[in-house]
Amino acid sequence: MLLTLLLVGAVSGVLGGLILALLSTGFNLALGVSRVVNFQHGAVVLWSMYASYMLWKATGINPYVGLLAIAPVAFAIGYFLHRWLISRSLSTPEDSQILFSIGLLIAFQYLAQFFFSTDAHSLTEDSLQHSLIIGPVFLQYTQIAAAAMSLLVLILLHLMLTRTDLGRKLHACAQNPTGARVAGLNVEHLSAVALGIAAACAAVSGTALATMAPIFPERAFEYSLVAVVVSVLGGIGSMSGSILGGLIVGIIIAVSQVTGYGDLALAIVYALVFLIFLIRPNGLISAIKS
Amino acid sequence: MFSKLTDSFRQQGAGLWLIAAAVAAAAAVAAPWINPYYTRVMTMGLLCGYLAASWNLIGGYAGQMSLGHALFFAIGSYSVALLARLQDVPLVAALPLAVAVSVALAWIIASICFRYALRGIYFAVGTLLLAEIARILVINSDAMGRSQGLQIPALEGARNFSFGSDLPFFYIFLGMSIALALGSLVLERCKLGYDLVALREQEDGARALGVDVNAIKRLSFVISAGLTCVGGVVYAGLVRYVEPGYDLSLTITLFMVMGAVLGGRGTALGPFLGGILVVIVQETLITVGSTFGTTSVSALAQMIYGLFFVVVLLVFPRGIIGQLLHRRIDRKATRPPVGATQEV
Repeated sequence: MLLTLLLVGAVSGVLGGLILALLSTGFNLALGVSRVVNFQHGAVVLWSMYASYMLWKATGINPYVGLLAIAPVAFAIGYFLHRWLISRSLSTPEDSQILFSIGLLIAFQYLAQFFFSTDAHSLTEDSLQHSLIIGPVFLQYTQIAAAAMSLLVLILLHLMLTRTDLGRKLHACAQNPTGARVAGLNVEHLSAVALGIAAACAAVSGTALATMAPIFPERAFEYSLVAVVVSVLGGIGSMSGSILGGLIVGIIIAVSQVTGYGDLALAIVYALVFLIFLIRPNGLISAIKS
Repeated sequence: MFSKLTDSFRQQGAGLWLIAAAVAAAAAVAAPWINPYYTRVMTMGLLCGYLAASWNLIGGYAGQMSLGHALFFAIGSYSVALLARLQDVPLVAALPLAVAVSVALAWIIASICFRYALRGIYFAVGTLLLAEIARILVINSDAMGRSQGLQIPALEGARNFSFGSDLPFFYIFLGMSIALALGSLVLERCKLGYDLVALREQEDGARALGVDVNAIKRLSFVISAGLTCVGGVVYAGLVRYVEPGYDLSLTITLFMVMGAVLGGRGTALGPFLGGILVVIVQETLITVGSTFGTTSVSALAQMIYGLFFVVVLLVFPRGIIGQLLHRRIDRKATRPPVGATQEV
């Protein structure tokens, strides 16, 4: 019985973990390239959830198709947010930057509350309201679709970062901003692009989360904290780290849910991450060799 | 001790302190006569200023940004609420109890964090995680009243923080604030204060000069936690209600951090000015929002509060008092000494 539960937990944990991995990969990319702690990331996720919901409600198209419209908008918002606002905070000390992004998080979260109130909204797409039963494992289509979509975007992101010119430029900025600038790269532009990509990833994971869970404004802070936690757990600036971190966190949450400790799941995750902070501050897979 | 105070006054610009003292005296005289609403706002402003100044010891002077101070505030307020369940125990007894618990916990947290050299973002997020863990545990505990929180019954007598009106709380917070402001001033002229500034400006340099950085970080974290906890105890005595969504949330931590950052981190007077300003801004936004009557407008007010945060950090990265002091220092530094010839 326990083994079955663990199996169920592991399977849905991997599926949920992929979404968290995508959620934090974007965050981690921006952190690696421009060294900004984007606490407002959770608010971008929240706004994407609402955007998907509104689009789905208005037109009835599949939310994943709607992403084709939402993700580019998110990219543009992220890009100009960095260009016009966040880049100004880069000259202030590191801890002021955290406060700065927390301020943005509050502003965006309450702006969402202003438009959509604190009521929970649910995105219940008909084509996703089925479930799949394989032996003891019970999975919902929403979960599978969300995980598949996240995996697809993660693979695309990986290819973009390793195979394209833009990917190499972003790597250069992450490794040595001064060197990149000397080599003639426009670091401000690339940092903004990184934040744009982060926002687009947030849009995809927001849509995926919107199909699975009710949407309400207070979750923004939780998403931000999860993004931070997963990134730090895996390793700042490392994409494989984010995926590993996402899977670990996903499995911990899912296993504690099936074994009846779901309410404490995040506390367990936070405690684990606190320990990782102490013994391996660079994360499980450290991209930045010190 | 007294000469240290006067030294501090002189260096910080006695004018600022005279204005602050005059404002405090005027408020103390006026408090019983004005509209109780304004007394209430002033009380909350002083509380926020006091908390910001407590946070300032670790976040400002020592430069270690803690985002987990809600934990110590909640230890204070929850211990009042829990003690109220026992019969015949005066609520004032929560004070030594809560301070002892906070100090012990802060000692453990600081020992672990600084032993493993958590700093910068890591320290900020680490302390935030600890506060979040505590919040999740409280929300899932029946004894702590889950997310609804606990009501504190109205017990009679001053030993139960019942004074018949809210006015005495204003004077309590005023007294605590004045004591803390003078304490911070003395600290600035003590060896500990100088060590902390050295640590904040350059940790490796301070260590090389023989400053035991871990010990002074721990000491200022512990003192800061204890003072925050005292604020929590008196606050619970005032509002008679505790809930994890406020007492143990990032909101209360941000009140402290915001007050200190707005006023000026690492200055004795700044956090009080900042804390009072933060409360005034919040109250104004809430009042304006409630005249429109809808909850969505109050959300808009909160949004403006977030933007206020962002703007302050861009415009006053050093804080208001910090900016003023820095201007003085810059002016002194650029003025050539009398009779010196300027070299080209």
